[in-house]
Amino acid sequence: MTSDAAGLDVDLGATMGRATDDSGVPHGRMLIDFAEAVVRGDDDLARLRTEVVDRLGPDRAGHAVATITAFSGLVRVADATGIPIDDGLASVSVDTRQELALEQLGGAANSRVDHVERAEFGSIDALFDNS
Amino acid sequence: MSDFSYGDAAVTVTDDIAASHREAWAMLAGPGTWWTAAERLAIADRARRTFALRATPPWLRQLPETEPGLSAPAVAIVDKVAVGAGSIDRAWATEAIAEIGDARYVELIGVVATIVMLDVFAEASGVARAPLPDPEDGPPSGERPDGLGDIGAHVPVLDPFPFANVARALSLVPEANKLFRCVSVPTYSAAGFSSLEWDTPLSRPQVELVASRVSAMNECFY
Repeated sequence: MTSDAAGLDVDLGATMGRATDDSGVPHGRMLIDFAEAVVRGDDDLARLRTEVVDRLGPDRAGHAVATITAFSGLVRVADATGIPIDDGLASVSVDTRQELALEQLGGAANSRVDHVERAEFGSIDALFDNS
Repeated sequence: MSDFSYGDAAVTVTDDIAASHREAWAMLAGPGTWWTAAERLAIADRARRTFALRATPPWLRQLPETEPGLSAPAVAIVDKVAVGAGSIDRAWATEAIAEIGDARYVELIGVVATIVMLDVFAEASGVARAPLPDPEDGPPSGERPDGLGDIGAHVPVLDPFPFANVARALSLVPEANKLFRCVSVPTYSAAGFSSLEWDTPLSRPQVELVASRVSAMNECFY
């Protein structure tokens, strides 16, 4: 959705680790390499961090670090507590989940989404409407 | 105690993020709701040692099965949340909760997720991890909130709740939720997800690419 708004043709497969040199997002390959190195604890993290800082500057690099940090915590809380995906989000993400085979992820068992009907994106508030 | 000044960081660290890390450190040093301060710090210490070995195959990590002040089941749960949360299913969680209780399980998750975030931030920023603080004396408060319900999660959560499910995931133990959100909210906000305006250093697609890749690598469906 945001890639459409930004006028980008994004290869969502890059988020799932599919080999690609160009996700369609500026500097996407470098940012993914950096995120992967942090998550895996790779030995070349320092080199990749230097590359990000040199090419994007310390502010954007810090922004990438903050993003990786936030989601490193959120995924652990979500999966360990087994919270289901929010109803509104489940409805608008049907096509994306199918395209990326997200229901093969380990955490998918916590959310029963096979019966969820497709809906168009309406508003941010609607995504998290669990009523 | 570490001052979390991040003066030697290779990347820009905003003042609110640094302040949140100092606040989390102070909270971690105190007694929790269901664990003492010494137990919370034992959980944090084990979690960061396990997480630091995430690139090492599990059978080569050579960590003890128990830690001072922690039972073997508690240590196993810490390890799982630290490096294998994506493989936690209902059967595993049910067994874990039967071992230590639902509230202690939730508080443990909050401590582990928080220390992992702080260590991720340090590693990614290129600074040394801060040594853990000394524990403060005092008993756990033992407070269980009213208004809990079953929304299909492994643990009870506040219900009804007006925000995203992840924001109530730790609501069984408000102090654990406070600790976790102390660190997660400033970084999440810095990422730009709390605003519809894209006035962040990275573009929104760049941020979402990074966030999605981290989530996918951790096998997180949510």
